[in-house]
Amino acid sequence: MRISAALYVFALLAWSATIAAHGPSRQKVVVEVQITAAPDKVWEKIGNFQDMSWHPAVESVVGNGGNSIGATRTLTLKGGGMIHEKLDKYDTGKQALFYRIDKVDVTVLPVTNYSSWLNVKPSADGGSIVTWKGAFYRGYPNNDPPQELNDQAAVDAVTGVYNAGLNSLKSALENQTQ
Amino acid sequence: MRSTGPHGVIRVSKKLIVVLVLLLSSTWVSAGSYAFVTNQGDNSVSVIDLLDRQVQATVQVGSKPAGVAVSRDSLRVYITNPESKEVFVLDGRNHRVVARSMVGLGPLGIALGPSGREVFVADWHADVVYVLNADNLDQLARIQVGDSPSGLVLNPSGSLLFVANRDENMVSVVDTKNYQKVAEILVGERPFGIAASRNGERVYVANVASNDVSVIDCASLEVIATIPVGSTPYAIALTPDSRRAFVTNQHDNSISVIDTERRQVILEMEIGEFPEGIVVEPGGRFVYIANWFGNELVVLDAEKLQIVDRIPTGESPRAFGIFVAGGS
Repeated sequence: MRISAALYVFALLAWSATIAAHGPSRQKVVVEVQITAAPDKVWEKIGNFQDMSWHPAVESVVGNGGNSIGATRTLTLKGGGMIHEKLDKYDTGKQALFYRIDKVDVTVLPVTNYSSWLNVKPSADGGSIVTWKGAFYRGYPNNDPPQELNDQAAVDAVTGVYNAGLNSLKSALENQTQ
Repeated sequence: MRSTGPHGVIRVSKKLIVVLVLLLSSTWVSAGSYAFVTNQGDNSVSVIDLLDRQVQATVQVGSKPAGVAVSRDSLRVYITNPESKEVFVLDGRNHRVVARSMVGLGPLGIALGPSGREVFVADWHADVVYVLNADNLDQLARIQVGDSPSGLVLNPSGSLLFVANRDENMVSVVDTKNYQKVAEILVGERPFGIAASRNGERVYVANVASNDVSVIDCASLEVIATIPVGSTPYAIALTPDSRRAFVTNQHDNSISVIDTERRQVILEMEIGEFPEGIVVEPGGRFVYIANWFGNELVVLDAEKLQIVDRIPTGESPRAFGIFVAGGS
């Protein structure tokens, strides 16, 4: 619910490319979730770059290149809006992937120069810890940003995306194993 | 001091080792040497004692501090705050804020000339470099440069200023006698960090988007080599003998070590999460690297290429610039 609010509330603005001009201060978000399921099970669900069906805000994914470095995907979000992403690193052994947003409308996600890590680690009790990390700048590259495109708006939107995705992943996997 | 028994020998040796280590370390990093690390996430500067490798003070500055320059005599530390549009000056000994001034629209990169009398500040938003009086921060000159100026460096004699213009893929070269531009050099994509070799021969620029380093010859003011490095290179540091360059690769969580004579990477090593600011101390023994995501300063042995310590910093350290006195 929180995501759709963050995603669709803004007026239409131009596309922003990954390496476009950006504001002065990069932001970071880290969200971690503990899941009662084996790391392999979790990675099976989130380790395919071409499949985002585990995220409740994503309607569909169209992409190229599978899980190879340089693979691309376009996420179409529920209710409209698209995010174009590129896979930069993929490590099956470490169960980790790293991607960046090539193109997104700041009305869809109010960020620029966004890059992100997603990985699974075993927890002490045989379950998993999933960590989703993002590094990005706010949507408005210049001084004195409008409120909906400032640092806080960017952090809130990304936090919302991560929470929704990881909570949904957790409940799907834990219901499945019980 | 001589001991007859085996236990005595062991005890003496341990003491000797401690004394030797202390003596050696004090020649590598002199007492009173500090790293000044800008923490963009909590508006502070971590003052790190490089001898005992601990944070000695945390100084609150302006908003979103990023750039830093320390005078060679270590008496003054200059900090840019792009969000509050201010430059702060700290006393290098007691670490108090001794001056602050509004500068432009988005002060980011900052550098001092060898005389320490002038401080150069890049304005990310206004596309200019300001020349300020280092004592009172009065503006002496305003130099129009390229789009989104970021890293600044002077050659060792201080006669030339090099400015990396990130969004124009170009380095501006400015004559510091008359503040006139003398050259515009096309480099790789999105140049950000920049460093000059102590021998005065080369300037190195990290190109964030083309994953390489452009090598500029300081006599001809031309790019003489382009060296591929890791992903999203950000900043560069050089050993005092000019033989090694170290490049932080943000997206690889690594540094690339360049042999500057062969002009190629001899090692890429993992360093921690999202490394940014990097400097070699004047003795050439240690490299210091700020990990933006990891909130730490890594201490690397410059010869053995081994990590010897990790010092916790404030939130989101950038340390963009020469953040140790006399470093390069």
